Parts: sequence; C-alpha cells; structure tokens
Amino acid sequence: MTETSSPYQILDFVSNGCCIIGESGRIVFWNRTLEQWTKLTLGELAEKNLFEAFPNLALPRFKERILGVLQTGAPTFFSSTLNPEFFPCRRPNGRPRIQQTALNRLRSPAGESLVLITISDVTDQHERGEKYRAARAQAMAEAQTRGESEALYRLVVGLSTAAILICDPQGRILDSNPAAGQIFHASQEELARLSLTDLLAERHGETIRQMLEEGHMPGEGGLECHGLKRQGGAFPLELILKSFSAGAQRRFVAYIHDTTERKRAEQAVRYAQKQESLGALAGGIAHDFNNLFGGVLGSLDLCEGKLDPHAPAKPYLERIRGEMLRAAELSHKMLAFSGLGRFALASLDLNPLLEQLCPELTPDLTKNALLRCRFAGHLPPIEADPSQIRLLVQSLVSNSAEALNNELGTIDLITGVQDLDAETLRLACPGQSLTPGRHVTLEVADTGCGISAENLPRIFDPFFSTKFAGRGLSLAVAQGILRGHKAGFAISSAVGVGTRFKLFFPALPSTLEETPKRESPRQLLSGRILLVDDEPVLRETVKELLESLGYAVSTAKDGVEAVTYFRAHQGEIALVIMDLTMPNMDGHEAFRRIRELDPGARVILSSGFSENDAIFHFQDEGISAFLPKPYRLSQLEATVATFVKP
Amino acid sequence: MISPEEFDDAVSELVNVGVGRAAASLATMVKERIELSVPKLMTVPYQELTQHLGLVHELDTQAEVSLVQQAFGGRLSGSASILFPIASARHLVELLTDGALSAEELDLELEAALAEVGNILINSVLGTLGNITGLEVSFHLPEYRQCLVQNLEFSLGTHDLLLAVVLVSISGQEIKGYLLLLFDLPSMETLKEAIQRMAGDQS
Repeated sequence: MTETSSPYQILDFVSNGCCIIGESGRIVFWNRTLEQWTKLTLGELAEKNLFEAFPNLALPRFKERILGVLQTGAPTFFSSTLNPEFFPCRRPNGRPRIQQTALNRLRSPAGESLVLITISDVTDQHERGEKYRAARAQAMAEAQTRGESEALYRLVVGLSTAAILICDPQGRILDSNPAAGQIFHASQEELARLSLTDLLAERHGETIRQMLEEGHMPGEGGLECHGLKRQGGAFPLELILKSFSAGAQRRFVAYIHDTTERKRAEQAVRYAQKQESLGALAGGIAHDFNNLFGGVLGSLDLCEGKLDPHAPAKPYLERIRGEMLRAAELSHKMLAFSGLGRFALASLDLNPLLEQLCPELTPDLTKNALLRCRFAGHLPPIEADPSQIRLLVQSLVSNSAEALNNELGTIDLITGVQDLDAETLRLACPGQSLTPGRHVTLEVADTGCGISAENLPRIFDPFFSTKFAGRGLSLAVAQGILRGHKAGFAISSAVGVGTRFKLFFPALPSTLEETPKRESPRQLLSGRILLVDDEPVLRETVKELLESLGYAVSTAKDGVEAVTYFRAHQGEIALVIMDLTMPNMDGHEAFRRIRELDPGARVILSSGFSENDAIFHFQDEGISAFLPKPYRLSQLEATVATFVKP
Repeated sequence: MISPEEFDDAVSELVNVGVGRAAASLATMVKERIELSVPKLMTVPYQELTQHLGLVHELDTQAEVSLVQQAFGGRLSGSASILFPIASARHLVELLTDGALSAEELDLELEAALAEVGNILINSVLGTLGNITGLEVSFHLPEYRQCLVQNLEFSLGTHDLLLAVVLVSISGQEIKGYLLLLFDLPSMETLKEAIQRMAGDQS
C-alpha cells in the first residue's frame, strides 16, 4: 500500500487522528493530524507493525482488544480515563495529549479486514475539567472561609450585650442579634418585619431617615434617643449607625446600647451629690443657728433671772423660750439630715431596741393602723447610735402612718440578715457607696397610698412633702441618719398599694466596744473657767451666766487666744469650756495644745454640731464633757458643777 | 422447538463464555484480580423490567443508574446494555483507576470509564454470541447515559429482553452489574433458530 494508492486520503482532512491497520497490526494509513501530533509521518510508519512502532500498544490490554476488532468486528472503545495516551504525544505546550480512542472494523476495496483507529483529542475538555475543579475547589475553600468568618461574626454578635441590627438604606431590618430581641422585647422574626424607625420614638424618625440617607452619623459619638419596647414602654438608648458595602449593596449596622442603667446610675450620683450639698448646707446652717439660739436662750435665762418672778413680761419670755426650743429642735433635725455629725456608734442588737420602741410608737398611730413586727432571730450586731436608730424608725413609721391617710392599713417592721454582693447592692441601692458583705436589714412597709414615680426621687429632699401639714423632714432626717451609719436603703412603692423601705446596715463581725470614753468627774477644783467661743453674743451671755452662778470666767475668741491664755495662766484655770468650730485655731487643735501644756486639764467641749461629732474626734483623748448648743442655764450649771466649785 | 428454559440455558452458556473473555480483558487493565460471576439469565418483557429489578433485585425504582448501551445490527438486531447502580458505578471506576481520582474527578470521568468497561463486556458477550451461533453482528460504538430505574423502559425501547445479572468482583469487592440484551422479535426468532440448529448439530 502506497500513499498514492491510498483511498483513505480524505481522512487527512479530518481533525481527529486516524490510523488504519491491517492484518497483524500492519499500518496502512496515518493521517496528517496524527503526523502533526506525533511528528511521525506516514512515510516513516507505512507498512510497519503498529505494536513495534508503538510498544505501549503491544501490552495485552491493548493488543488483544485491537486484534479482537479485526477478528470479531466489534467496535472497541478506549476511554480517556483508563487509557488516555493511545499514541503517546504531547501538545505544543508540552502537556500530554489526552486521547479518546475508538476502533471500528472496515473493509478495504480489496476486501481485506482493516481497523480504523479514530483518536479524539480531549485535552481541552480535560483541562476545562481541571480548571473547573480548581475553581470549584477554590470556591469551596472561599465558602469555607466565608463560613468560618460568618461563624465568627455570629459568635461575636451573639455575645454582644448591645443590640446589633443590620438594615438596608430604607431602615428595614435584615438581621439582628439575640440582644436586640431582649432589649426591644421582640423575637428576631418580628424584628425582621420591622424598620429601625419602628423601634425608636417617633420624634427621632426624621433624624434616622436623614442619617440613612447621608450614610453617616451627625458628629462624633452616638445619638442619645429613646427606644420603644414592642410590648410598650420607652427607654433611653445610645445609637451608633455605620454604613458598609455588602457587594454592590449599601447596608447599615445599628449598634444600640440600652442606657437605662447608666442613666439611673448617673441620676443616683447626681442625687447623692445634691443630697451631700444639701446636707452640708443644712449642717452649716444648723450649726450657726445653734450658736445663735444659744445666745438667745442664754440671754433669756439671764433676763429671767433679773426679773421679778411675777413680772408681767415673764409669760412672754416663756413663749419666746418655747419657740426658740422648737426652732432648736428643727435645727437638730437639719443637723441629723446633714449626716455630717458622727454618732455615738456602738455595737447594737437591733431587735431589742425595736422591741422596746414598738410600744412607744403605737400611741402615735391612728386607730386604723396596725403595727406588725416580725424580727429575725440571732441578728448580728450593727455599729449604730441607738438614739439615732430610734429617730430613724420613728421617722419612717411616722411617714408610713401618714401614708395610710386614716384608712385601715398595716405597717410592718421586719428585720433580717442578707448577704449582698456588689452587683446586688449596685442594683438595689444605686448611687450609694455600700460595702459588699453581710447586712442586717430593717424593712418598714405600709399599705398606704404609695408614692408616685414622679415624686419618688424627691422624697428625701428636705422640706419636700405632699402632705398639707407636713414639714417634710422625716425622710430627710432618716436619710441623714443612714448616711451617718454608712447604711443603705431601697424603696419600692406603688400608688394605691403601699411603700416599702428596706434599710441595709453593715453587720459587725463582733461587738464593738462602747466608743465614748468619758473621764469620770474627779475631785472638784477651785479656780477660773476659760470660756472659748468665736460667737461674741454667746461668749458674753455664757460668761454672764457663769458669773451669775459665782464662777470667775475669762474668755477667748479662738483657739490661739485660748492656748496663749492657758499657757500664761497655767495652774489658775480649773476648767475650759471650748467651742469646736472657730477661726484661726479650732477647738480640736486648741484642746491638744492645752493637753500638751497640762495633760490633766479639764475641758468641756461645746458645739452647734452634734455631741457625737465631738466624741468621734476626741474619743481617744478623754474630753471631760460635752455641752450641745443651744444649752439652757440649768444644763450649763449642772455640767460645770461636776468639775468646778463656784 | 426448544423450550424457553432451554433457550435461556443456552444463551446463558454463550453469555458466560463472553463474560469470561470480558473478565480476561478487564484484568489486563488493572493490577487487581477481576472475577465475573456466572450470569443468571432470564427473559423478561421490557414492560416488566422496572418491576423485575425492583422485586427480584431490590433496586430502588427511584435510584439512578448508569447505563452503557451499544446498538447492533445485521442478522441479530437490537441493543446490549450494561447497567450499574450509580454508587456501584462509582465504586467500579474507583477500583479501575486505583483510587487515583478525587470524588469530583470521579464524577467527571465516570462516563468515559464506564463506556470503556461496558464496551469490553458487551463486545465480549456479543462477539462470542455472534461467533458461536455464526450469526453476523455489526456493532455501533457505546453510548453512556444516566436515568432512574423507573425510566429504563424509555431508554431501552420496545424490545423483548434478556436480562443477565453479572456480578463483577474486583479484589474481592463485589459490584453488581446487569447485562441487558434486547432483541427485536425477528432477531429473537433468528437466535432461537440458531440455537436450536446448534442443539440439533450437537445431538
């Protein structure tokens, strides 16, 4: 068979590789496509044996099937998967040419059995498959990365205590985190049907729409506004809105922090600051008033002493004294409210004190009010001033009794013990600086008219009262006493239901010793009294009173003068009556200097602040006695007489 | 006239010879040992094929199968098909390619590889049948398709059917395949006559 005689030359125009073999594998035809692929020409291969020219085909897996086609005529197929390189050759890029091969029997014009081997180049198909697989693998890897990123996003967003909403430019909520559901009291499905503006008070709608339109927040920081819970009720929140791109689409993330607690804490701090300022003011006024009242009362005593017992002016002087004493009482309450004074703190078991106090309280209650006591057993002691606790309970019970408005009701006095951690204290007593630990609790609860939410923040304000006849000091005094005891309180009240005050006193691990250590009166001395006070009227009045009692009195207007005088007349002075609050050198410093000069010097302290304030400062230094201002002539006489003979 | 049972028995033997050759041919392609079981053969009307596969061979009618079909003509006319449940087909190709293909590659290469395997089996069986009976058979190249068992009838057309169940075992792992030989009615008669003639010659 020669090229010229070949009737198969038409196969040169076929894009598939075509080879024709005859008996025993003799190569009859080799088309141009195969020449191009293998660089072997028909001239080189013609009449050669296929299995010698291509040794790979001599393997049984090929040879038997190829010869089988000659024998049986059964078309045979070699797949690109199992037999990809029938005629091994490479593409121009050096990669193996992947082949799919079909063998069919045909007859030569001379009647000879031949086999047509048709090779399809499926390299491109395979490469496309490889590219597809690579792209798919990459896509899967990216999807996995996205999945991990999504999982991380879900985790972070899920852990956030702030509401996080994903919105479109119209404000429609596309996604939300669990905190959003908790804050707005809505399920995530419900949120998905809402818009951001649905969750905010109507007045913020225009601002939000503008922010969504402009794509940014106005100015720095968050927007303070009010949110709406789905079941009703508004609450303060801080909103931060940021835009981002999700593919070609613009999205917004709304970060919403419920500021209810923060606002409450800020309010509590402001309130505490206000109360502290008020307390300082009230304490200062009370102190000054006490000094003034002291002068007036002393003068009254002097005046009375100089009048005939039956003088017509005496009843008027009595009336003046009565009013002055009422004013002094008011001043004491103001002092108590201030909480500035320290109390005679001692280890106190609350239950016996209350048991003693309850019968005393009952007569003041209306006949419709029932006082019920429920005291827990084995209360730990507290550090408290019994007299102040009595005043505190009286104030609260009095307040409760008034809340009953002459209607049938109960007032409960309940004691107990409670271990409070910092978080509980923060929630129960916002703005109050209590120390976590064991506390003795005292509850005063009534079934009275209750306090409106509007009035609740103001009930401790001095002179605030909703009652026509009230002076509005009882709760202010109560708060001052609590502050002085480092105790806290919580109030719950509902209009028409009642009010419950719960007081928290830090429990003591062991009983404190009685703190005031007063020096026992010693032998009466003779000598001069040094009266030290910066108030000229009071100084002169008291001097006159003492002189009227037969004492020799010298005066000093401040601590410096007092110390100077004491040093100059050491041994002559049997007693010093010292005011505490004075310019230049206060009573405390002057006391120390005098004690340095004479450790046995007898000093009576006198102050417009409470006795206990003085005791607190001098508890380890042995003051001789205390005279609270304003004092009567009789008090002065009794106190001084325990130290000095006229 | 031979009985249907005798006919089935005779064709079983012919198919058995063909399958044996196919096993030898397949064995040359892989290093593993390949065994093809003695086929069980029966004549089933094509309308009952789905039901038969479901009831007798527990093939889920909703399951997908791979089908390599090769038409033939001449004295015998019809088509021969080799059918594998898709999982078995994947397993077979996995074994033939020595586990070199990933799952994705296996999906892509399934068609070509099964077409070759089917071609080997069908060629061997039909070649043997033609040689022994002396009936000239001309073949077409194999076609591959996938379909649900319940749709097989549409793929096979209205022919009487010979069903041969062949178990392919590679390295002891059994893979069940079904050889379907479909003849048109005149061809069936020709085959019966040829077999009867052979039986007569032998007797």
